[in-house]
Amino acid sequence: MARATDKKYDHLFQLLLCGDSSVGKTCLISRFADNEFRHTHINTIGIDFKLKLFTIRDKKIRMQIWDTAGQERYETLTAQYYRKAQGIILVYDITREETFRNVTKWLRNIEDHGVKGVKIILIGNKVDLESERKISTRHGQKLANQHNIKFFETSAWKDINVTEAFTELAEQILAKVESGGGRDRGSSSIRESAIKLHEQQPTPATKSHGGCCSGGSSN
Amino acid sequence: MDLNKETLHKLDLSRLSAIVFQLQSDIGKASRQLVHCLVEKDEKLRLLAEKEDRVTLLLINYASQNGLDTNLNFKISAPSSFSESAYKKWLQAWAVVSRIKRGIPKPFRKRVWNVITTHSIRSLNINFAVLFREDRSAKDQEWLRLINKVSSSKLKSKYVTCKSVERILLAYSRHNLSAEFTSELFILSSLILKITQGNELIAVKVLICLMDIMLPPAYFTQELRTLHVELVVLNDLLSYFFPKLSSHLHQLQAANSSRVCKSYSSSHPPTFKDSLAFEPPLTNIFVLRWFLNMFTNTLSWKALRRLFDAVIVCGADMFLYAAVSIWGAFEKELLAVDNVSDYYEKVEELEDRLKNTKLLSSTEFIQMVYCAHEIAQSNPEIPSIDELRHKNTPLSPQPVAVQKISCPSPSQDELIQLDSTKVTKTLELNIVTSPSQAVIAAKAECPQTIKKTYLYANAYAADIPNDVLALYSLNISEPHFNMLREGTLYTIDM
Repeated sequence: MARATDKKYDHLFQLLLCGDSSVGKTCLISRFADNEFRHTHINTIGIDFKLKLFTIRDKKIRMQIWDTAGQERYETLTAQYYRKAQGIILVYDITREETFRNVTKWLRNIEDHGVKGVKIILIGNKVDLESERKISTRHGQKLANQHNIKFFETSAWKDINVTEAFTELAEQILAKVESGGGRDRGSSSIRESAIKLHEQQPTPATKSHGGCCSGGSSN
Repeated sequence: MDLNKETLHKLDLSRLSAIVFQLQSDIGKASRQLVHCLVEKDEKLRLLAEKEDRVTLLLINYASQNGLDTNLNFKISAPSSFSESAYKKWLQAWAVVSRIKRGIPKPFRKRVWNVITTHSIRSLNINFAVLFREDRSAKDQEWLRLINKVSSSKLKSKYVTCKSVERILLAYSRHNLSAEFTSELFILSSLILKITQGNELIAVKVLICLMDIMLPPAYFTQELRTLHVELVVLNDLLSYFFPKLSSHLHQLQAANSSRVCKSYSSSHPPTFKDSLAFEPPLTNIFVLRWFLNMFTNTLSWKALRRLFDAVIVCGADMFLYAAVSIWGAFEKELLAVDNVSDYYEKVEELEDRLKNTKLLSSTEFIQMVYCAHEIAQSNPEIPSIDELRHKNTPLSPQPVAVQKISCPSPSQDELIQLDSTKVTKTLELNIVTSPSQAVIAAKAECPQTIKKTYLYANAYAADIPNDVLALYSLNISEPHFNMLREGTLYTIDM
């Protein structure tokens, strides 16, 4: 595991996963960060996070991925961390209709607690359970289109589209950061970065990659 | 020969005389054997009492050297009279044993836990046969559904099976009709079962004792309101025990948040650039996880068992002192961290090292917990946990976690000084509360000696007279002792 003392990276991105309980958020992170899948694990309690070093376009990205508990009782706590995220992955379970219905509620939470311009992608997880599917790809895509966000269908178990989804989100954040919409932290301290930020002139927002609604790689 | 009435009628006088003689001889032999066993039992109990007296003296000596209450009387079994004063002396003896280097010996743990919890819940007159009944109501079925939903392999062991966890959770739900099922309750039950080596009766007593008597009310409810108060209490305690670390963490948090504080207003919502800048109180995420998981993800198995000994013997405040001690163990390395992103990763790394006893041994850790407890009790400058809870419990029904608090945006110098008078700029941020401003102010005046005492206390705690280890030379295993006490150590062969 990369340690806090490792400074060899170009950007630090903070990602957050949200969505109903038991939709597979922790499994998606485990698959992406450790290439692991556990069939049985206890529900996430409170909030957890994992680290992943990742390269996109020759840029070394240090990803802090915040894994939030889906249960309503933790919402007060997890809402604090939305504001830290530059990218949010909203997950539902394609075999459970209510998790899809709640996507709207989660989007509202992101709007209420997240930062302005946060990059969001929508994931319909558990495509390995095709026979139990309740939400069609078309419905998922339609909802993503309505909110102008990218959409993926994934399986953390079968390792389908997981890396692609995280990569897409990282690409969107990188594009925003490189266009001046975010900040390059690198190895400098927060204090130094903070000073730099105050010195920065506002730059016009660039065209968002997330604007495209063609669907990342929906199956 | 089967000596029934019919058989005896058929026998002649000489045969009957022979039988009577044989019987009298056997009875005499058995009586002599019985007397011999009883004499031996008395002798063993006398020897045991002597050893217990010797241990009592050693414990009194140890207690007096370490400023602990010396009004104690060491006994392996519960005091027979169970008068309040006899019980207090018995409990204090075990409190001192739990504090020594090797803690409560494993064969005695269940016995001690059983006596303490039985004593604590004695006024409740619980009928355990009813709690463990086989038939299932609709409410039981609902609990079973929820239990199976969170069932995890994480805590399974040879002592912890799904069925045993189900039984003790159902028993608890039948006792406390207003109890809510939560995953934390599942974790706690599994953990207690593991420590009590699958003894479900003791496990239920411990669960009832912890949830309904020792821990603050509504500890694991759906709303988590009590735990949010505990987070603030912990932050307050930290500022007394480790003011330098507490101040450093505030600086990190404030350095990140201050920029946002300056630019936030309802008309200018936070922007993408602010994402790395906003910061909730830094200890919250970890402490909440420790409490919700009952430290299972943070402490080694040995440390965890000893922490639970401490809780059972000294009270549930020991959980807070355990959290304080963990931050104390992390202090040195966290002071070297200069930004929030590295901080989160560093704490994860330190947690990992703590769990694998690479940061400090389980014994060293548990000594820190006891020292924190003793310092808090003996130092009048540190408010009691009850006071801190009372002070930080919101009067309104609004959860603590969303109450509006002051957000300092101090300058560099101000941050170093953390002068309470400067902490007046307010900003309405819906964040989990950080230590109350009064405590931030007070900690500047809190003498550094507290921390020094804490560290030195750790050193003296490790210096335990070897004689106390005589306890371990009693060489009486628990089943052995049970038989001895009940007089069934020797079977009489007729």
